[in-house]
Amino acid sequence: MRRFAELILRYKEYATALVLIVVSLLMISGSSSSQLRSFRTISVGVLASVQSALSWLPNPYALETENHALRQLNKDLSIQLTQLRDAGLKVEKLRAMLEFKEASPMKLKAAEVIGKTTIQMRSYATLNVGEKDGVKVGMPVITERGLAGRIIGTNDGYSVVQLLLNRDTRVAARTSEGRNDGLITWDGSSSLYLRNIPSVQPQQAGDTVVTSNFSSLYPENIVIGTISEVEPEGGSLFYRIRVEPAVNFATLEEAFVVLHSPDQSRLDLERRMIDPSLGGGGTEGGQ
Amino acid sequence: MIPYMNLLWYAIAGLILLLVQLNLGYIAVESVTPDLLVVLTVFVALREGQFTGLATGFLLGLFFDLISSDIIGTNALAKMLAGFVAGYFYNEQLSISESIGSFRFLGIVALAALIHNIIYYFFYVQPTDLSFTSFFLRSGIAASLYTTVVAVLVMLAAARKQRW
Repeated sequence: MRRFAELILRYKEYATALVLIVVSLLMISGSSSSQLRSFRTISVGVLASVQSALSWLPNPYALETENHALRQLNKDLSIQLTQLRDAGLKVEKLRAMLEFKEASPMKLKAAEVIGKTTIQMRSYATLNVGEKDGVKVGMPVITERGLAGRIIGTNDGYSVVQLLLNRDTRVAARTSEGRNDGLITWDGSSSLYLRNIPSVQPQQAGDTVVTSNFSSLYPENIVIGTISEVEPEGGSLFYRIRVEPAVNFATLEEAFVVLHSPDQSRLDLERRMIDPSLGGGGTEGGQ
Repeated sequence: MIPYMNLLWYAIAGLILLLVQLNLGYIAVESVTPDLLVVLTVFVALREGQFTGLATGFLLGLFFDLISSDIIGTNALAKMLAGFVAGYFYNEQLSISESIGSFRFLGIVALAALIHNIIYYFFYVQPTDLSFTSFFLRSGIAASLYTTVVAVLVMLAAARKQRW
């Protein structure tokens, strides 16, 4: 017995290691026992208390992580807010368009603007409606605010609109209050000009300009814009009247194609009368 | 016989390191953290001998098992064996600056950490479908290296003591 004790003492490191290995393995195999679990519950509780007591100590990592998470959340919420605002604006716009379509006596085809382009001072928009929707070349394009342009090309599914801000714009127009007829043109700025209004007839800013019944291409009384400035045209007997378009072309996203075709017999008659003397020139050259 | 003051210091250091070890997330690299308890175990083994080293490793590991969510006994076994291995390098003739403040200390920490992680990760992957070899090669070696890097601070502190 004494020898055994001496042996143990001599090799106490190995003996202890052996005992501790056995103890460890027993603990590992019985780590799910209820006694160990309850002991762990207590130790975790004590540790949580200690950690709670020390929670006033700043933890740079936790702060940085929280900061990062809050920034990310802020970014996500900002994006959501922008999307919601955008959706709200779109809903308002679509509601106005729907009301306009229901109230309009004209036959309209709703369309979405899927592309806009400007080529050498000529602005165009592409719509997602085409011949299969009944759209034809020459049909006017409007929004709930007013005239946007005219269809100049179509295929089965798409059509191209020549917008009013276009050097080829020529629209027979009339002031709604003064009932003076003139011609709408564009000179390259963001405004339109109403020409051929004699300077003897009084004009005032704020008056609305609409399409005239002189036009063979557009139904009458479609709003074109509002007079913003009236000035005499130097060296002539006419005014130079600036008109702010009713349609905001920069934000044009939806439009209606007016399913209106010009009266062909009227066009033929006018052409027959004009051709021999002028060779095709007229008041509505481009539009 | 170990001086009581030394035992007290080791106990305080162990308690602090246990708490620190549970809050090492802010220095984690790809979820790998250094094992400060292994460093302390090696320190004790080199200063006080193999028996104290293995006992320290066992106690530290056991306490860590209890306050962490590990399988109880895995850290106790792994740290005990780390202390046991480190104890082979105990030499009572060496001063603290010689035993701890030298690259020898780093080598022993690296070896002990490697042995510790082999045992620890062996039990760690048991309840999972993870391959022990690939997991050890990916995380075990990295953790051992990280532990060794942290041990450099202890080594530098001990080496500085030599100059004082």
